[in-house]
Amino acid sequence: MKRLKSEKAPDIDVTRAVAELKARKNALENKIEELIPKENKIDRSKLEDLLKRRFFYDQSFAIYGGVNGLYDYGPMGCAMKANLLNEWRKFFILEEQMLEIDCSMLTPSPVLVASGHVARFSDFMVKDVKSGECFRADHLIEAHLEKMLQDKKLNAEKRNEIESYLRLVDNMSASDMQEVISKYNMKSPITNNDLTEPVAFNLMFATSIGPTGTIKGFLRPETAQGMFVNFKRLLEFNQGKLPFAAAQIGNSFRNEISPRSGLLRVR
Amino acid sequence: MSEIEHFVDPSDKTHPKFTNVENVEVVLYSAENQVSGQSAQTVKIGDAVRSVS
Repeated sequence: MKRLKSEKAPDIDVTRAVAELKARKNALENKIEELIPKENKIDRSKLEDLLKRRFFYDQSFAIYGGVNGLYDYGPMGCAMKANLLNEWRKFFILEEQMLEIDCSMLTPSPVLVASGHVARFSDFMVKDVKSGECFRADHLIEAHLEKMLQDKKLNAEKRNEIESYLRLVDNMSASDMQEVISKYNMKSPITNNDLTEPVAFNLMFATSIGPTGTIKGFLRPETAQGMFVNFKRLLEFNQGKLPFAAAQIGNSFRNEISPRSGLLRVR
Repeated sequence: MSEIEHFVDPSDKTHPKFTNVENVEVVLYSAENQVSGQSAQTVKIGDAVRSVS
């Protein structure tokens, strides 16, 4: 090309050479594209669809309309779960010689009063004033603040303010949260209606044990209580030696305000 | 869920396998930092244990 131009060759030669150059450039680009591996993105909705079709897991009671946050594992899901738990056992329990126990899921009320769950195992909930739909207040606030941070026109002072609120959300009381909600004028993410003030909602499932209904209890919200309550026996089992670790694998029950993310937040 | 509870004698916190992990750096978020709104910090396990006892 340069040679042609420097020789001031007739125009038609130059154009022909330009066309040739362009064609070669194209061919080169195509070749490069072929050789670079295509970006492997996993299509989440397709994956979820596959898992349901092959019954790895599915929503419980689907033929009755299903309940949000309750899932059944199918044969493949069970096999995968069993393998996962096996690895967990090998890695933690066998490797570190932990003491595994398996305790009752029904817990009498006094145990959970002592552990502080009855008083404090709650999330704050806000309701849509018109539709009555419930939202978890801290998640709503976090989502709203993060969305505001996306605004590129935010000045540094406001940005710092929002970021510090974001870090403090976990520790906020109901009145703190109400302050943030009204300060940034947060509304229902679905209908954009007003929200009620945050109220505490205890996440445990209550029940009564026994025929007379006098023994009040809860379904355990976490598996830790069984390990604490059995500490003395475990210490004896371990010949009175500390330190040791106890482990428990089992189900626990939380009456979530709004189950999300498939198997990551269930009831 | 699977949970583990470790029980430690507060007067004797030695552990035979500690030297294996002493120099591993982990991200830790202390209760102090959580309440005061600061972020998590990357610390070596050995330093973290020494700073508490």
